Amino acid sequence: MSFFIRKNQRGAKRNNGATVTGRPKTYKEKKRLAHDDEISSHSEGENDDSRVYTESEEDEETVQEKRLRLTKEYIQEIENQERIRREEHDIDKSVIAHRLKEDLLEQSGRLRRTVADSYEKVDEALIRHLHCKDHKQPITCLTISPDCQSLFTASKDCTIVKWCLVDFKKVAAIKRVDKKTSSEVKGHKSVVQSLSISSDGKFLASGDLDNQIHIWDPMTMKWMHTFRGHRAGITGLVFRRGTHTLYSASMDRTVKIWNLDEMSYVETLLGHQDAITSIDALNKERAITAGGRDNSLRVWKIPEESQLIFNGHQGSIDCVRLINEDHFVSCGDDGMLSLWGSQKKKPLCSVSGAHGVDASNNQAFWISSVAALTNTDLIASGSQDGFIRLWKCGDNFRTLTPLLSVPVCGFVNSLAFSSDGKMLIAGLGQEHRLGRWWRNGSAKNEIVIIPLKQRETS
Amino acid sequence: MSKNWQVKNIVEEASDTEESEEEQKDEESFEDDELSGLDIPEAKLPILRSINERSEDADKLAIREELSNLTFEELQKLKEKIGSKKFNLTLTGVKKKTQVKTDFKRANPNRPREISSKSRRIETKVAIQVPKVFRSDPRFDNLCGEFRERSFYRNYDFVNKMKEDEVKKLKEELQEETQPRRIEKIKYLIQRMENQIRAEKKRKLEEEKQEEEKRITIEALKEGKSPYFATKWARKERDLKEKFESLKEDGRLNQYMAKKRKHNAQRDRRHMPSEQY
Repeated sequence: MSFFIRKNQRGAKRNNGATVTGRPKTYKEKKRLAHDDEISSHSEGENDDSRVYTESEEDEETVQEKRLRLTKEYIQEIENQERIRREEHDIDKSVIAHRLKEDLLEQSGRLRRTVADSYEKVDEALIRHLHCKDHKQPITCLTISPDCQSLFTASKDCTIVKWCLVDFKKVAAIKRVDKKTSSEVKGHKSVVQSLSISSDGKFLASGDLDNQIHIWDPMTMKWMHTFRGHRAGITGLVFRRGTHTLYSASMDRTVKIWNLDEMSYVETLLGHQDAITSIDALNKERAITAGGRDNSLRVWKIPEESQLIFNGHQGSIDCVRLINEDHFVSCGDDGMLSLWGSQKKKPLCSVSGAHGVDASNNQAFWISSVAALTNTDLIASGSQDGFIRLWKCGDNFRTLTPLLSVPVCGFVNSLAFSSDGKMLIAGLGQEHRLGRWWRNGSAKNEIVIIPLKQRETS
Repeated sequence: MSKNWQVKNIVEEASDTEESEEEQKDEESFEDDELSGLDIPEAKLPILRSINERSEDADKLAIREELSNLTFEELQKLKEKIGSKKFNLTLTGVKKKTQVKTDFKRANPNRPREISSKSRRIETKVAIQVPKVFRSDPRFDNLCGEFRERSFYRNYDFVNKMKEDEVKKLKEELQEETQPRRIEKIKYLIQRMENQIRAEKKRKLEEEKQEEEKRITIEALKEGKSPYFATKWARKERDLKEKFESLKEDGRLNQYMAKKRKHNAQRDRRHMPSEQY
């Protein structure tokens, strides 16, 4: 008898404790609720002595039953939502299964959406150009803060500038530092080739060709720490999403891992045979690097201390970006744009001469930068032919079809999509970011913000 | 004394192949580069820097003892140098049983190749092949043969002709040149070249004289007489005679004799007793 009463009481408390919202609860939330409820019922218990012995057994059962009840409620809610959406009365299980799967993927950050087709032609009048006195030389790299509120750019004159993406104005700048400036003022002495911001917006890392990595606070743009350890210039920096682990790639052919919670050096990864040109990472404890002229892309499995080697490209591989945890795109100075899958050592799909051929020397234009909208099928590539090209990855990433072209003037040294897919930001320059093989006098050293608009689906 | 310190795995011990053992040594050892530039004096870390064939546990105990003697600052420096991952491992002495894979076998050859990310060995395939330049000194190279002075001078005689032409050109340039530095350079070059030409001519004369002597010897031998060997004094006499002839031709004989007399007088005066009381 008492068993049932207790259950009812519990039930009542549960109803008060459990929040009823329109949004279906996640598994974690349900677990937490159950736990909270348990505690609350415990604290409010009157005859604790008599309950203690029997409660433990019955608690487990009730927790499990509670879970069952909550999941049933969740599924019911999904059914109702789908019913409203599809205006059908009978929903079969496959729909619910599909919906559950989608929700799970979205939580873990692995949901893949095919959005490329929905993008419209870019309205050139809406493209913004950002200039400033601190960036008189070509822009080398840029990074967008995860909340899409600010943009950080660096250029060949060793400066870093913070821009606001709401009113498109310069907010702060870190100027160049040389022998004469006092050691209190922090900055870079040589060209800044890489920038990265952590996914919670707490750290900004910048690496230059003088073997130094500076860590800044993105809010105040104040110097926090300097990492010295690399033996040659730093060509790539990336934070692992959701953590404060920084991966740095350098021209001394090593990848170094730094922990910013402790501001310490963790380890070095060896294997590349030529200077590393680019590095990228997502949520997993993995990094991918492009090795320049050794024609290899390496995926570093950090906890297992091993590397996977992918072979491709004929010239130097200049940039690599992860599209999702299993696929990535790379570009090189042979004019090729390649799509890769983590299960195959050769590219899944390659487009040679992706940006056309240079009439003066009959060689394909070097593709200097590439960007991918995470977990979708949209890719952007930039070169010196005067266009930023948007591509769509076909089914299973086996094809690349050109989608749109945006005319720009100059060398596209850096490209980045904002996380919501509404903006594509390009850092342009009169020269290539790595050297001065050409100089385009008619171009400007500026940042170009291209608004991307999606066609409204019915 | 090598500077490697090994943490042996159970997996390592179990593996039979030599190759994998070597790889593991590379993976988990303090390499030369890693500990170089560390500020801690060597005396404080003898075990960490030396190889030892002791058992695993003895190693770890010894290392931990060493580490316990270091100051906090030094520990920090060591940590920064080798990386926090390795540092934590040495402190806790955790054996990585399942984490480290030794044989990376892929399901099919289309999959990417997998290797360790810690080995410092350079792979045999090199990105850019630069041909090795082998240089050899002809003086010591057997293939170049023995040095023969006469043939050498005969072969490279054309250089002297080039020098003479160049001297002419330089003299022309000197007349047109206005910059003082450049004029200095040209003058220096002309001087040098003319000296060299003169020296060459002298050498040729010497050579001719030697050939003369040889010719005399050969003729004597042909006629059946004994070979002709010139003495030093004979050579000197011959030289003086030639000089006398050439000076007479030029008309500088008197000048030369006057100088010679003066010089000899000076030398003789040295041997005269000095007039001092």
